[in-house]
Amino acid sequence: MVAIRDPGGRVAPNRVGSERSTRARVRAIMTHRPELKLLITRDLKVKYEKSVLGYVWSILEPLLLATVYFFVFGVIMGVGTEDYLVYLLAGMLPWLWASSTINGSTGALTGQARLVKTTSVPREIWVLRLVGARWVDFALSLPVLVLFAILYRRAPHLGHLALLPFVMIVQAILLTGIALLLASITVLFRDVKNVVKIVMRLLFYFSPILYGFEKIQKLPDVVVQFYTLNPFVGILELNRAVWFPDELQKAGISWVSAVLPTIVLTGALFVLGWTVFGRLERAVLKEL
Amino acid sequence: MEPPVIVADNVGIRFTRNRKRRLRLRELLIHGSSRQPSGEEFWAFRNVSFKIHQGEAVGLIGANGQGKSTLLRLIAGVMLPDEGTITVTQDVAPLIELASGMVSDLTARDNIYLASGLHGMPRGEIDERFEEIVQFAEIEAFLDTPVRHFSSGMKARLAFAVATRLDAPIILVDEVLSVGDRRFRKKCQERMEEMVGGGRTFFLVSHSESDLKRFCTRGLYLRDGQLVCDGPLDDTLAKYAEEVSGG
Repeated sequence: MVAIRDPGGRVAPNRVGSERSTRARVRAIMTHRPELKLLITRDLKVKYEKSVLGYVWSILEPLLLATVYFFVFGVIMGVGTEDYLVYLLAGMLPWLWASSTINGSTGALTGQARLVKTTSVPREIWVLRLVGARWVDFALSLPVLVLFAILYRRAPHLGHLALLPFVMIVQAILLTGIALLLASITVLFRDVKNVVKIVMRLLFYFSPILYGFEKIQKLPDVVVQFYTLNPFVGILELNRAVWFPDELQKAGISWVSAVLPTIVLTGALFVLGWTVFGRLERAVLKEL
Repeated sequence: MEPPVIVADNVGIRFTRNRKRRLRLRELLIHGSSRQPSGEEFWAFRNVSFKIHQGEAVGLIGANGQGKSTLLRLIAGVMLPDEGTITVTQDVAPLIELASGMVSDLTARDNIYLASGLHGMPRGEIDERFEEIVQFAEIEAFLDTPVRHFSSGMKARLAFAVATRLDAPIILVDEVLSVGDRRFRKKCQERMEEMVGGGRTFFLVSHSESDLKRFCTRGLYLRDGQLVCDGPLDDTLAKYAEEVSGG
């Protein structure tokens, strides 16, 4: 058992020895919340404060992407749904939170190797910081969606809006699990980074962003089942159901059955990420 | 008697000789410590046990590559042992790899806040000590310069200034007394002497006999992956000298 007590009387029990229990790890993370906050605010400061266009840059990407897809699918090919631009943005924003976190997770430890190697903050903090900072990015981009919804005169479905915080928490847990897994594995296995990039590219098209889940449901059952293994399906569907409540009805599912597979997968991926990170921590610190 | 502040109990750590370490599924599924070490792994040291009480000043002695810095990292909690346990009951200020703890894209100002914050110092306290740190490091004119433009001496000075203002009860020092030019080195040594008093616990890795004698009273000697000697500094130094010359 290690209990590190600092002048402030803070105790960070930190078993440095054979296996560290989940409880000890959670407690260590909790006592290092100030450091987590510090790292997240530093991240955001660098991004938003240091350049005049900081905020504009961060919303430009989803906006440009949405415009391009709107132009290609909505205008040229004419397959877009009603108010397609809002439709796209509603899926694109949570997706960008996911993809920027997952793509960033491969560098969460390797990119900060120097700091990770010289400070004893729980290593999980370096991953949580990434998820947290990208979460704030996502929250800050939501006004853009609201603005376009107003322009298109779309009213939010209040019941689904109330679900949004819950969905965001599910997404945060899911991303934490995936990021813990990838951050630790990448240190030992550097090519994971490239694999992740490609997978995320493909997953974009296999997620309900450009189209709705009901399009997939018309396909054979095997495809549908395989498709639902993507944990982002439920998250994206519910994000969009705020502005397009008939989305779920068209797919013939309630919000519960939309989000249930996602929750199960989130739980599994979180446990996997948490466990792998803990098991690899020792090797990771030697390899960094 | 007060309980010890650092307890190492049969600590061992091993490394892979092969730099291209492959990820083994086994490692994910079975816990490391129950595993038989394979041929390509070696133990940096094993069965190292000691207890250190508050206020002790300990020098770690040994030839290069005997695991001195690794042992210091284990105490700092930035590495984890493969067997045994290390218990540290007070906050630690590691003066390890000083300059590399600075983020080169950030300014000196941001680095001071980041480094102190990461070592658990609340913002208000950093504000209070900020001037003192800047003055000690002698970088007043470069506060808002990104650290990547700093010379290595300036970086080390800044890092030393931050680390020694952490006010931690346990201080780990790894060959940092050779920081900067002669004048600054003297300043560092004076600062260290100030800290050695006042009930702080010291752990010093050094090849300089004079530094060891100046700061430490107890010596630990690491050789061939074993802790071969733990006693008063002079005895340990004598044993080391005898082995080095006598072979």
